[in-house]
Amino acid sequence: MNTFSAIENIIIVLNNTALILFASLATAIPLQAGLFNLGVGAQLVVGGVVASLIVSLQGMPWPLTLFFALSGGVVTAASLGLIPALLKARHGTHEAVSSLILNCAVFCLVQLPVKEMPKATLTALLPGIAIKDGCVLSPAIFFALALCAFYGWWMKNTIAGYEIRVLSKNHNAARYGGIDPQRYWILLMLVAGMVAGLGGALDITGSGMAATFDLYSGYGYDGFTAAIISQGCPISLAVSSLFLGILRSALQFLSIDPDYSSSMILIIEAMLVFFILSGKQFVRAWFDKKSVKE
Amino acid sequence: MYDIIVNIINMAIAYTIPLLFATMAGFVSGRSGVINLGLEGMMLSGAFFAVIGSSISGSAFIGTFAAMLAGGLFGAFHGLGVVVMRINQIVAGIALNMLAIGTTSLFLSRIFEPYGASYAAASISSFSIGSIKISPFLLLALVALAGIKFLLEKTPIGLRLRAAGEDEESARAFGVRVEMIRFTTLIASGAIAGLAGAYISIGEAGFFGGNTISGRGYLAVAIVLCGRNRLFHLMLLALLVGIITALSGWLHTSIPTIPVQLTQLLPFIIVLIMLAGFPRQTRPINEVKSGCLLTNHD
Repeated sequence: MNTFSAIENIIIVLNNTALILFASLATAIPLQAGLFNLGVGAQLVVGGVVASLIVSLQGMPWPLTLFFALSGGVVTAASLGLIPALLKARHGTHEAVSSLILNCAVFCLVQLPVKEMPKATLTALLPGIAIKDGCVLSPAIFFALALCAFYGWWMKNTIAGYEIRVLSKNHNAARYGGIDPQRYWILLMLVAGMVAGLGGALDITGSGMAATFDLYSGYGYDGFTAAIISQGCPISLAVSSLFLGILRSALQFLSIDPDYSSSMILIIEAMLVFFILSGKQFVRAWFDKKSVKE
Repeated sequence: MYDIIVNIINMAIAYTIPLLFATMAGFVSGRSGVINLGLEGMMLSGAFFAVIGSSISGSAFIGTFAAMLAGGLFGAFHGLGVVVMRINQIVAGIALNMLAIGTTSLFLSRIFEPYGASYAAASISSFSIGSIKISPFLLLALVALAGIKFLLEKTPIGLRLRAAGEDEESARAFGVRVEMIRFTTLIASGAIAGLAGAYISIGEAGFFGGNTISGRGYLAVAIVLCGRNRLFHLMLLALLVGIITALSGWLHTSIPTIPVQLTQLLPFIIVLIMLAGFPRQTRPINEVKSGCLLTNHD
């Protein structure tokens, strides 16, 4: 049963939402150019694992440790996200399949025992707003929201953002207009990997847990769902992430058995994706019919 | 030495059979114009419902049939998304995978009380020729292979299916009901992939747990993309991946210091390299339709 108070619940929800928002940004950013980044779960996990490995090395003042943990997570996850992009640019591999296979490959390492972290040193490094003993609001949510707003602004108001959107809408027109697709593919997947790695690393340093490879396996699907149903709109991205964060936090409290939570949320998300997307199609078809009648 | 080779051959056969079924399923749906990313979910549902069917009825055949039924149901759901609601095929496939993982683990924890792994009441055991184990599923796969080849190339239905995949507009102009064909092909594809799952749970492992499929469906998707519309090439690639998986399993047993996870990694890395080596993966339809997110831009 849920024995936390209301404010603690809100904090748990917000911490989950931050991670999901990072994951959905990592999926939504390449989606703007029509790329499917389906390896977000693996990128989150890799960012978290590298961050916790770096944190467990002692001997540095905490700002430096924090910096190295975050940047280590970011760089590793970015290189993971770069692989499908490079394969697509050089060899024409379909990025959905290659990122999926890379995802599976990383999760193959699930039982690999990550180095034992000494419990004493693994406190939360990230300065958070401590509301109560043991319940800290990580600043990750603010970073995530700021990143989301920046992403929305950037896609709409910069030349690069415009070119990226044109790439997905009409590929031939884009090439005719001189937009180089390979450059943008690599850039977008790199940025997406960085975002996902940052999310994983922030979560680890904010909560002070030791990361294992199966920690974030569900969050990849959450990010995918939020990005797909919002189709690129940043406000919708934030709201969907909040919704999924509430769902995931709620299901974590179902004490019946741990497997129950991940399965319920996956079913709900699959239904969300199916029916929200189809709703858009139906609405569009209805409007088209109406205009034809006139 | 002879034992090692026989061992590897047995493992290779065991790994190749589900890949054969799954690539056949992906091939068939690809020829009709739908890239089927939901193979993993269909295999998972097939594996799970095979166990359910065989433990309820006590017969392995009923279990296999239940697997085909479940796979077909998930295929119908995929068809609902792609054909009726016109969702992007990749998105629909991933959503289907999520649905399959969710429903199977939900039912697993509800039905089999000591949750985690279930048991199969009846399993199909393989018979041996010499010391090489040949499962009836292998024969079924070969029969299905021949059947699909015959169907696609020598029958009017197969012609319509290929037409729906290769040039949708012309097919429609000729009166081919493209939507109907794609929907039924997805159901059939799901049924075949369900058979793959049935082999994994009934024919090979004997149980169903959380990790039984673990990414093999995605390997099949990659193989289908590399296969370039030739069924024979697809089967060769599937065999190759099966042999590599067997070799990596053998590598773990022979050099125990390498952690098993790294050897499990090997098939995925090899398939990734394979994907890179087969350039220009257009979707299994030769035309490039503008605005389609699936084709490869050259």
